[in-house]
Amino acid sequence: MLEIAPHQASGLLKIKNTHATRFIAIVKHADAEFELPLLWRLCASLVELGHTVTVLDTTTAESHTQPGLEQLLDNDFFHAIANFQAQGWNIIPAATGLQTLAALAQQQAQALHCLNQLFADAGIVVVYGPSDCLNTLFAHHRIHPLLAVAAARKYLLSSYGALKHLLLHGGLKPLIVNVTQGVFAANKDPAPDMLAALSKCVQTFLGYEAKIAHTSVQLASPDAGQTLQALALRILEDALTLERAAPIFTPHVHRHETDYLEGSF
Amino acid sequence: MNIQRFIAPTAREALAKARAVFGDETVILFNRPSAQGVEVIATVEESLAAFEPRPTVEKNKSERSVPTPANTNRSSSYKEVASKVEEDATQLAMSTLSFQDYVRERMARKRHEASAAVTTPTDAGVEPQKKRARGVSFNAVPTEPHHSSAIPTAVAGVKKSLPSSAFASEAAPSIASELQAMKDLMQERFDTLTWLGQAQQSPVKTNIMLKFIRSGYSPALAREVVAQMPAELAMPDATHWSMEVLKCNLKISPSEIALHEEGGVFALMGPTGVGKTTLAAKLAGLCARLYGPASVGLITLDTYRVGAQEQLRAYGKMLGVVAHIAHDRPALQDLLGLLAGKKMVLLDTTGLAPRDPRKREMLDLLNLPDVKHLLVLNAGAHGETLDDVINAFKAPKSQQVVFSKVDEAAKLGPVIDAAIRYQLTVRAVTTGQRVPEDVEAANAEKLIRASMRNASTSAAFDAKPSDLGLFFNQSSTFQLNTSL
Repeated sequence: MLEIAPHQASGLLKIKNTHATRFIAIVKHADAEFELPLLWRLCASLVELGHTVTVLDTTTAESHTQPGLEQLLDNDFFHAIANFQAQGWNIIPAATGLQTLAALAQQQAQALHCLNQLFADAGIVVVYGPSDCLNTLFAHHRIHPLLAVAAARKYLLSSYGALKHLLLHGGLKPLIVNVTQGVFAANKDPAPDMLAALSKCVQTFLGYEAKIAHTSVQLASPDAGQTLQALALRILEDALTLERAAPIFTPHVHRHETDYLEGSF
Repeated sequence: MNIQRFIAPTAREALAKARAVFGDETVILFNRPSAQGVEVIATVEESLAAFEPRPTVEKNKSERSVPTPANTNRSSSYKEVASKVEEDATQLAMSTLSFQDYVRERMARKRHEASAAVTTPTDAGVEPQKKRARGVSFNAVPTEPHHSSAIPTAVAGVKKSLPSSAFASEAAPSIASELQAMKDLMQERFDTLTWLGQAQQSPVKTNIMLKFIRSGYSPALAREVVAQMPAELAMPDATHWSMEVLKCNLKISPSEIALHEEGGVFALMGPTGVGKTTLAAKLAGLCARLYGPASVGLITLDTYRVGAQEQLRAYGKMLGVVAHIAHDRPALQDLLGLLAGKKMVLLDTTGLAPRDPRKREMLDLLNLPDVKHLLVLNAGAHGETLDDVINAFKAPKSQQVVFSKVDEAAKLGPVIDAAIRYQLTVRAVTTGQRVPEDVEAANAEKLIRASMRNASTSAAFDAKPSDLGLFFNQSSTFQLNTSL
């Protein structure tokens, strides 16, 4: 009682595990026409809420000019200099690195552990990729990937396929959000009852009641910020939180030339 | 002067009680209906003997008879009563002119009624009053003979049987209201005299009453406790007895489980600035400490106060808990579904004044199954302010409350008093600003002791023994459990 704490909530800091990392999964099933704008807006909302966000983009491969996860796995030096806390928003190509990680890890849990070690101070890690990639990392974990659907007929099949793959192979139950407006709007093979059709398919063929966000996201609307913030908080609530533990698997692929040090991300 | 109050189901029984105490020399000063039946205030005749007027007006004691309400031959004795009461009232710095005149008027009217019962309708029957009670106009009494000749016989026959109150109200509606005001005034005066009599007889009760008032308890509660106190108690025992009664009547959670251990969905409500958001952070911190951050859900409905969402979000971030925002009922229900698996979900609401028109909207928003309302009361607030808040945020089910800022309150009496009178269940108290340390489960004994320990430090607000007569109140409207 007599000690003077830095501030009134100092007691709370002792409760939280400051080294816990939260993983969010966003499913890529269609073209990037509406998924990427949604992804960027969600990341921006999370940053506005005061979080540090690192996006692992499994749709983009690493290269000499664009180092990413592969290089992080390969060279501990990158890990040492990657001060994620200092930056609000990091985007890391991870197509090759994730495959490498999956191949090297003897168990699926090791891959996730390795990521947890690499991004221990990253705050929030958003993994954006197809369903098979997400299953590799998060199968049977308590995480609800975000599956965005738009009101066009072509997206019905792809979203159903992604949902089925997540459900049957990974045991993951995605959160479905309806995204409206934009260039993918109703004039291109519209499907006004997209969500209803998807829910019906899932219920009929998979025996599963789809989990749908109660509000649609209208990206071009002036009120989209409030909706996106609520959605960002919701997917944060569904995030997988991993505490820092002793490393059980340290992948070393091979050593590259030091010119990798010149790459920045 | 020994004046006592007697309460019984009927007037006859009350009079019998008075006579049992004072014997045949009982003088009835006042009677009125009460919740328990009839209340009679009486004294003994020899007390009235002390009211001999200063000019020597010799009274033949043999002429005195047992006074009854129907005996109208006591105009001189009642004058003595009135003059003595005037003396007492003067000591209490009260104006008694109206009381004195009122007594005279009452006796005059009784004589008029008695004479009117045996006279013809055309007979005036009312003696002209030499003096009138202030504010009462007996000119309105229709006694002029030339008017009576125009009154139909049937109506006049009905008129003479009307009770005096109806007679007055028929004459002028203002007379009835003024008579009621006089009646209330006389009742208040006699109550004060009764209290003074009791105080003289029982210094212990006086001291206990003073202690209650000084601790911030309401005169109503203090009087209720003192009225039921056993007469034979000495001061230390009386203090202990009083504190035990308060402790018995202050409802604490029967299961004695802390809020964060009980779990569930709690909506924190209350006026502005009582500490709802800080309390939410404290409870969230305690629950997270026991069951982990994943066991807690935070939702804010406060979209009005600047920085409200950011404040809760800051606490949530420190805890590793997401602080959601709900703008409307569907969003709230959706979030409650999302957080259904949590041990504890806390809803922070907008602070609203008791008379804020948005209060009804918020109460309707929170009227959801499984959402428990937790009213946050500032322990240092004034008693009437607390009454307003409690009435404004009344819940259909039993009301649970949290006393906030107990460490800042000069007196805990008002808030404990409100909790007892409204039968509120006190779940927790906050004792400082630290999050989450400064919150603890409510302990009745600890609270009562703390309330009695806080002596008034400000002379301006400190009640003196001479002020006790002014802290009088009518009979209380709540029942106190004194069976220890």
